[in-house]
Amino acid sequence: MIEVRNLVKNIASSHRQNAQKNGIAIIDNLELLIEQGQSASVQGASGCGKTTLLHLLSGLDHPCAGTLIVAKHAIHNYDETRLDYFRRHTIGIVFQQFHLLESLNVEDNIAFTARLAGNLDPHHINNLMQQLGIADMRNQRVTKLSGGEQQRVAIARALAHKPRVVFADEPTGNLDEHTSSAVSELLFSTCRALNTTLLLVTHSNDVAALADDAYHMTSGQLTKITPSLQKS
Amino acid sequence: MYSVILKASAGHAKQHPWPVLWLILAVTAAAAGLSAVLILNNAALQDYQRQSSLIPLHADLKVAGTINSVEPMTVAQHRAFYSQIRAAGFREVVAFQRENTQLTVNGDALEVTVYAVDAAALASLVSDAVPDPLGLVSVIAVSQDIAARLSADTAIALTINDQTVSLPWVSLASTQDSHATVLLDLHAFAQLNIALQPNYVVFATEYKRDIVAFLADRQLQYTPYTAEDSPIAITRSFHMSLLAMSLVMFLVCFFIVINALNLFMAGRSRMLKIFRQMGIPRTVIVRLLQVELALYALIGAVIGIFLGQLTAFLLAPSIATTLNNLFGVPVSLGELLHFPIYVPIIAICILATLISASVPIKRLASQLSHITPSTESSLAVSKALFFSLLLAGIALIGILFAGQLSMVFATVAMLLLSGVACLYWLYPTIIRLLVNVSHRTGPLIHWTFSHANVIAVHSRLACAAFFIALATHIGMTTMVDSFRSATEDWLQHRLIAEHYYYGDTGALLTVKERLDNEGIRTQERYQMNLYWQHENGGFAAQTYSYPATTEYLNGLKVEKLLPDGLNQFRAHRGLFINQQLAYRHGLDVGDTLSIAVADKTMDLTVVGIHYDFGNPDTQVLLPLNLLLQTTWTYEQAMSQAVRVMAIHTQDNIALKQYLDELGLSHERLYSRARLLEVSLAAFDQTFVITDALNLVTLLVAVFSLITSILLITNQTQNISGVLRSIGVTRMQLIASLIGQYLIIALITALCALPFGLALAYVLVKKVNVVAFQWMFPLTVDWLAILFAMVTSLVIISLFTSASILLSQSGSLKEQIQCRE
Amino acid sequence: MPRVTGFVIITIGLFAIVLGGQYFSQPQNKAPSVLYGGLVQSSNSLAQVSPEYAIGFPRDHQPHPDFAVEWWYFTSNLKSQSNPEQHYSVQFTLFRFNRGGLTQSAWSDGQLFMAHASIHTPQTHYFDERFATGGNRHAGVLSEPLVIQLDNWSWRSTTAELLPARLNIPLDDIELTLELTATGPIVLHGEQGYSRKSANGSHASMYYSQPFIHVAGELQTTQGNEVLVGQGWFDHEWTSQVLNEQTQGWDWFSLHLDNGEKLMAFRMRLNDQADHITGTLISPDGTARTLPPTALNLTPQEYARMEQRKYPSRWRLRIPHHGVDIELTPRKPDQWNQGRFPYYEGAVTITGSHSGVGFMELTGY
Repeated sequence: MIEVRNLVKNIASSHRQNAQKNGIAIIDNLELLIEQGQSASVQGASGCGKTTLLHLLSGLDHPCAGTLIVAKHAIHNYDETRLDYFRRHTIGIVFQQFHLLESLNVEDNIAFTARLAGNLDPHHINNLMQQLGIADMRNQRVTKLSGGEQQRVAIARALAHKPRVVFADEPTGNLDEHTSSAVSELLFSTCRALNTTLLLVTHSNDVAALADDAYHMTSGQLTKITPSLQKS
Repeated sequence: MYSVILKASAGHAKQHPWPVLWLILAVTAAAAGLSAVLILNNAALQDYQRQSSLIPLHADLKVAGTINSVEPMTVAQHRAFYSQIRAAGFREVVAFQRENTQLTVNGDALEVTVYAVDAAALASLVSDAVPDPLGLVSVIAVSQDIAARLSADTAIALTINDQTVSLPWVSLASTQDSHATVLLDLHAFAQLNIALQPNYVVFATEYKRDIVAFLADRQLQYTPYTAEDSPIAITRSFHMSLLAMSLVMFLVCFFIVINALNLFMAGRSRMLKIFRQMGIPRTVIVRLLQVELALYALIGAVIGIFLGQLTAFLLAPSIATTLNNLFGVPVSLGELLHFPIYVPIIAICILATLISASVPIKRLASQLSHITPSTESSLAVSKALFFSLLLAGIALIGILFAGQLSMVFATVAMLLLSGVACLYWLYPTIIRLLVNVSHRTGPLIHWTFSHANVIAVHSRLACAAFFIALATHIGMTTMVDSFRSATEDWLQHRLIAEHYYYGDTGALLTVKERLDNEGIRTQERYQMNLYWQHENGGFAAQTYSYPATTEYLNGLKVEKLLPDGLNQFRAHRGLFINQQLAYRHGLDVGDTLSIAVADKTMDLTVVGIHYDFGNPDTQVLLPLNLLLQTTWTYEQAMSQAVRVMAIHTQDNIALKQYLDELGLSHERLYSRARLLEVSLAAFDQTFVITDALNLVTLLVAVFSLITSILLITNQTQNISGVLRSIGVTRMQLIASLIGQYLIIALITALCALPFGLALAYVLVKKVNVVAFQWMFPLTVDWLAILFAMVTSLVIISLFTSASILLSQSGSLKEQIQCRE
Repeated sequence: MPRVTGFVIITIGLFAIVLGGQYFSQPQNKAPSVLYGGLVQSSNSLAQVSPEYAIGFPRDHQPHPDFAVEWWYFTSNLKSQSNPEQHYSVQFTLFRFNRGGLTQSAWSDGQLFMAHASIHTPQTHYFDERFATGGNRHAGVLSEPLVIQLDNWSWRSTTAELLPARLNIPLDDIELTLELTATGPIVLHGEQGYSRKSANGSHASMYYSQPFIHVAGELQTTQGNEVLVGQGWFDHEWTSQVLNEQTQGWDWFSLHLDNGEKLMAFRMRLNDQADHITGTLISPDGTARTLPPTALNLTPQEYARMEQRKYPSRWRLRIPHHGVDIELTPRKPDQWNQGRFPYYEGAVTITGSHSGVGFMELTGY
């Protein structure tokens, strides 16, 4: 579950995080609630703060004000050690640029997070690979894979350690339209199957439509998009 | 369009100065090392040529008398011989005498070399020298440094063999020599009442067989003139090794340049891609990039030359001393400003930079997607192994068969290249092993090792430079240390007595008589130039007397000894030869040498080959009593050249007292400790330059590795971000990154060790032998080697850690956002 | 514009005058140092020649070490035996210098010897200059037999007398060997050998010649051997009084007339006195008649140039009393000996009232 209240994030024009300075409030009293196992998508114009929100939620950045509770972790108060633990055990991240470890093969990449978290479940990983259709590439170097295949590996990696929440930052941004829909379908279905909360940032209407809830971000705040608006 | 690009480039350089600064620094270092050595070598060459123009330094003919006589030639005999050889038409043979002595100018003592030459004969050969030799019949010529001190009323005196005479002539001319030289006519010199022992200079560029035949016909024993004895030939090995070291340094520096260029290109690539997108043609970009790099190279070269010039000035006295001590070649290295050298060095630096840049530029010009590090395919790895073995094989052949110095240096190069190829094979091999072993352990460790492979590929050149520098360092240090300990050990053994006194025969025998009265045991050493025959021919060699007592024989350090050798020596049937003699004439223990004495021939067996480090001449040791009993009468023996005497007493004060009573100076009395001290100090001074260059090269290589690491840390930023986001803690990540670099450095260092030792072996057993014809045992100082390796690794780790810590200190978010 | 042109013209004109002046000026007075580079100093501490001295042979063939300068001088006019149109000339001189204040040393007696060897073939000129210190056997004069040598150049007699002798001069590419025999007696110049060279007697020397030498020998070159035959003239002179600050130089001639007579003519050029001309006319039987300055006329007819030097190349010699009116012409344009102290020494042909061959020496130009 993800619960966000009164979230504020200022970005000073010189990139310094200083709440005292007069900065631009990129996130301005944002509120968000996602139930466990649900999926949500966030859309918005470029530079509106979607990625910043994701960074805040995944503990990669600190808020200026407000509360962030992700899977019962009140991460707005966490120090670095606890954030490390949080990231290691509780969440998984899928990046736009895949960000796979190029010196490892597919299987090692996927198992990395699970090993790190100390809950390696080969069975689970095998299932993931089957589901994502990458089981027969397990020994290949990730650099040899196509974009779609790489992203699927990334998704598997994000899920290998059975996180409570998965954040995806424009996961289909680097993929073509056809691959894009296949991958996003997989992402949503896999998360649903594992009862993992999924928060996904995207600029694609089609991808956003796959989520249980769709949000739009403007002026530092989220607005829920009604299903009818979504379909248009 | 050009101005736009140039402005943007300048702006970029200002904002990201470090790659440019590294580049300039690297070129500076390369230029400094090269220019320092070239300037010094050139200064020495000027000295040799200038000195050779009037008196070739070592081109002399030592005629020691007829073969059948062990008595040295009298002056009358010399004059008769000289007349004969000149009347036979050998106008290129000119009588001269050379003395290294003291010149007192207004009370200040200067070490000078006095050349007394038959000025008239010289004038028959040379008419356009400065000064004209014909002028010497009425003037004395002095070198410029002495001439500068003289005025009309200066009192000058010459001290030779403890005798001081004032020089009566008022008019003085100046030679072109820069080293303290006094040049005068032999007739004038003879009037100073200094004992005449002329030698003969042969002004010929090739070995004159007819002179040798002339001498052989008259049964004269001589040390023949060969062109190999010119100072240029003698010091060739020294200058070559200086040059070799500077080239190594240059090469290593240019590895840094390549790394700096990679860093530079990486930083510049974004801007250049924008230019391409703006429509600026590729050729224009490349051309302007080359211009910019050439400019940086120029700046670096100019600064480097300035530093090199400065270094040359600082090192010149030390090198002059070395040349004097090691080769007996007096130089002053005054001509250190030599502008014509600057231009080629600048050109070489610019050219080398542009050549080094060609690969990164090519890569830049064709790249469009982000850099994907390629892991080694197994084919390339086995290629590396193949080359390593091939080069090692060639090196081995070289070690076994190379006879000339240049070939041996080529062997050394092969050895180092083989090491580099071996290194390229080792990285993936060892790392793969580690990866496999760590597969089931923690994922971070596993990733650490597998990523180390990537780093190894990226930092290949830097690691090669580090390897070469470290191996060279190990090799050179081991060689120098072996030499030093061999020398020290040899001296310790050889110096049997507690005191040694040097002087001329008269003084020594006076002292001996006095000490005999006091009951103090002395041991004088007789020496003369004798002509020895063996089955392959004959040669002249400095022959010394050596006591056949157990004490003294134990002090002789031998390379080879016949089983019964010492007894044979005692029984007057054997003699010792030094390594130089053994090498030069192909002699071994068991060979027979004969000498003609009066009307009989003595056959003696070579019972041992003794070590004689640092002696450029050959040497024979004969039992003292053999000489005294069979070759001379006692009176004749006593009048032979006795130059040094061992005194078996520790009572330094009493000795000085006796010397005072006899009116002799203390200066030539040395205690054993002092002799050791002086000898080792001379040794250390000789190797100061080598050590310095060595150290600099190592530092340079270490920093090359660091530059490479800086480059890579840049590129691994986003990987760090990914790992952190996955949940790797900061400390874990830092440890992992540091570990990766350390693995590479450690593998490099460990690979450098055996190759460094192999290099030491080649230096000691091959280079030294080919260059000097003597050899010392190789001893490995593990502590010193370990120290060098550990120190370099520590420096690398420190810098690596610092840079990694710095790179990890930014916010996570920024790391993640490292899009291309 | 005209101003500039005018300026340029004046400048060029000035240059021309300065340069041209140098070109056309008469030869200047030169100090004696150009003669033997300071090796000779007229010193009162050295022995002085005097008319009282009685020359005797073979004693006086030997050196006179107490005098400042001495020379043994051989010149020869030769023809190729196979091709008499090809003329050769040879000069061999040994000089001795005593610079004053000499002391003996273990190496030498301090005397300095200089030797010149000059060989003219029709096409080439070979010249070499050597030096040596005295007191050693390879330089100087030996007595039994008489050997005049420096290094491997030697005049080697069979006895203590001057002739017969063999002259051997090996140079780098050639070797000359000449057999010398006497066809007449030795001649003393001046007053029994005391030869006065200036009007007031300040300059004088002991001087004798052997002008009657038959020469036959061989010149070996890389192109082959040339057999030569001809006449030779030997001078031996010693003095301490010929070369000082007042001496400009001299012109000397040794002439073999075809009628068997020999002629020596000498012009001394001095700073403080008028030129002093002397000579000796020698009849075929060896009778020598000293010619005072009034008896002969020696005048340059033509000047030539060698680098900066201007010198008289062609001469007219007249001895009215003896019906001699001859012109002396150099055989080759360049017969300069370019040693450290260059001077002119070369063969001349004699035309006019008499014919013959000879040698001319010009110093101090």
